[in-house]
Amino acid sequence: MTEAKVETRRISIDPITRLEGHGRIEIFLNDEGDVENAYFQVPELRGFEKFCEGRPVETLPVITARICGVCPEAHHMCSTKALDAVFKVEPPSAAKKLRELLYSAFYVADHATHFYALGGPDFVVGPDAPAAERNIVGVIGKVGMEIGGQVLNALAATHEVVAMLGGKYIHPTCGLPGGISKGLTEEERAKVEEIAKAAIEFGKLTIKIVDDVVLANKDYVDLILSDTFAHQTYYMGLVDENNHPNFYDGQLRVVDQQGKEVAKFPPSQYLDYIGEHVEPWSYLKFPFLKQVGWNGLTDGPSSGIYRVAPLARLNAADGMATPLAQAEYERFYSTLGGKPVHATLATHWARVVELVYAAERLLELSQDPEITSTNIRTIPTETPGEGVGVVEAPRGVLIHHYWADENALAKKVNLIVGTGHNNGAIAMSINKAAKGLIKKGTVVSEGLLNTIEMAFRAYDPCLACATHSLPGQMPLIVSIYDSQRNLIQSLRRD
Amino acid sequence: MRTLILGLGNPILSDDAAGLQAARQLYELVGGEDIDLVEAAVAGMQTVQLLSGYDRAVIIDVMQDEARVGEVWRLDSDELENVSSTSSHGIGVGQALRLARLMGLPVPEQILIYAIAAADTSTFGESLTPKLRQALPAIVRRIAADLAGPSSQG
Repeated sequence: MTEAKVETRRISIDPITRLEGHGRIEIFLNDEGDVENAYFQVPELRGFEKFCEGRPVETLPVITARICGVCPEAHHMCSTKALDAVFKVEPPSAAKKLRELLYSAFYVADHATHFYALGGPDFVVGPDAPAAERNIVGVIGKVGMEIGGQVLNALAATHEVVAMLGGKYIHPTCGLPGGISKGLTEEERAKVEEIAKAAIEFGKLTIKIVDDVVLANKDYVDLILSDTFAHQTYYMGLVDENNHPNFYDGQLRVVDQQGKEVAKFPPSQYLDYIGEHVEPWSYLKFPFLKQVGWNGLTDGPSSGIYRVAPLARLNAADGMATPLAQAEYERFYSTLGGKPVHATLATHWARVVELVYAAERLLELSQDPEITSTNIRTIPTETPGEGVGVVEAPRGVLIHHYWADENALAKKVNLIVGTGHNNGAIAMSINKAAKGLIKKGTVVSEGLLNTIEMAFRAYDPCLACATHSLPGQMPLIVSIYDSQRNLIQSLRRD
Repeated sequence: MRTLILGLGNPILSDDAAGLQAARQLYELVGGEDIDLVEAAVAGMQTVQLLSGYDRAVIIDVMQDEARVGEVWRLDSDELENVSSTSSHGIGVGQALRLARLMGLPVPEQILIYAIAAADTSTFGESLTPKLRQALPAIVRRIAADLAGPSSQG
């Protein structure tokens, strides 16, 4: 923390023992006991750029996939696309489809994991439930073993598709500049088709759970739509030629607080549109729209803060490319009061709309006559140079920008990850939630703290991308400081 | 009895690779027909998928604890099962095991979890810090002794 000269009290959510990927929420109170300000800080991984410099640029899809144990597929795919640009090579159509097929399967698995294991517990088990029950075990206790089994089957099946093409379980190695290292046999294709059909059924089941558990509960709907969890921001997402979200490719589109398009550009031009503001208290930079400018951690049309990830992707689009997802998209907006939706907690529902789209897209691609083609690689012949790759990671727009020398050694790399884009919005969300929920004399209870956590959990922030360690999750500690910076309360959440 | 040695960690994040390296060395020391080695950087349900089909599993991971670098603890999986999820994503190994058992999935009857104390798990690099590197062989021998001894039976 920097020593800002403000008279505040401080609440801090901070881990004592770092097991892995700790996050910290610091909340400062004023003399009246109200929230002055709240900050969310994530741990820093150091030296990535230096680590990459001088390495053969074609190794970056494997190296960058190692940044994160949760979304290696996103980094791998983005890096592979950046290599297409670095080597100035266009992959054959079948290779692009195979990449997107792998990516669609990954999306089903990742979104399902978040909905059932992470975001879901807050709603299915309830925000005030004891922490020990607010997890996937608690969710299955509530929705039943049969649905639990379907969740696990869907995860296992879609992981199988990723492994089928990815070549290596967990960390794919299939991406090559100009294509992909492995295609699908007819037998594998048929298997993917079968898995995709099951994934669509799983998507329908998940929609039903949204209906039965969340939408049927007026308290939850009120919570989702409450001003505490709303921000009037810009939204950015990758869209196809019809302005439908596409996770693998397209142009970046930005809409304003009314849903009106204010920018649409090829990802390679991102530096013309996205600036990065630096705050002394956070190692993570704060991206903002250059055309609007940085105006602090505030929302509204005069603040360049924009959001990415599921809610932003839906807001930045004109509809979905597949029928079931489109129907759910329409219901999403008609239920929540029209477009765009500013309610952060609606992100969980938006994620389900996307899950359905990913499953439908997986089926489309598995039935594409070209998908078993063996023409899956264009061999690069040009001298390598500079290249940008973009995909939609589950956590938002992911940008890899590489500069290679003529021997294809990396000179420089620049990465902007989904959590990075959302950094300003996450900070605002925590601030607002804390202000709305902590008032004079309020005892900070477990349920209250979890509600603040819900504000950032919706973004599914990637914290140091290292969740493999024991116990593989993020401990939090809440410390409350008074206006003299004395610790007045500390709560630990493992 | 089929045994899986599972090293968890990130091979390019300095000491975070200690679990992977220890698993590899352990495998070299005790590996045989009934013992498999897997190195991974994952949590939660994917870990359970890796464990499926084995009678016994040895999971080796890393904990950041600069004061006790080079020490190793054996954790009871019950301890982990009581830890709740506040993670932004990914569920814990313990919770995943609890879930797997709840759902009747095949998980090993014996699961030995080791945590190695590490100094630096947040700087990109391909080597361990010196103190941990020196301590690793002793850590591996300690785990190997556990596997051979009566404590592994319970």
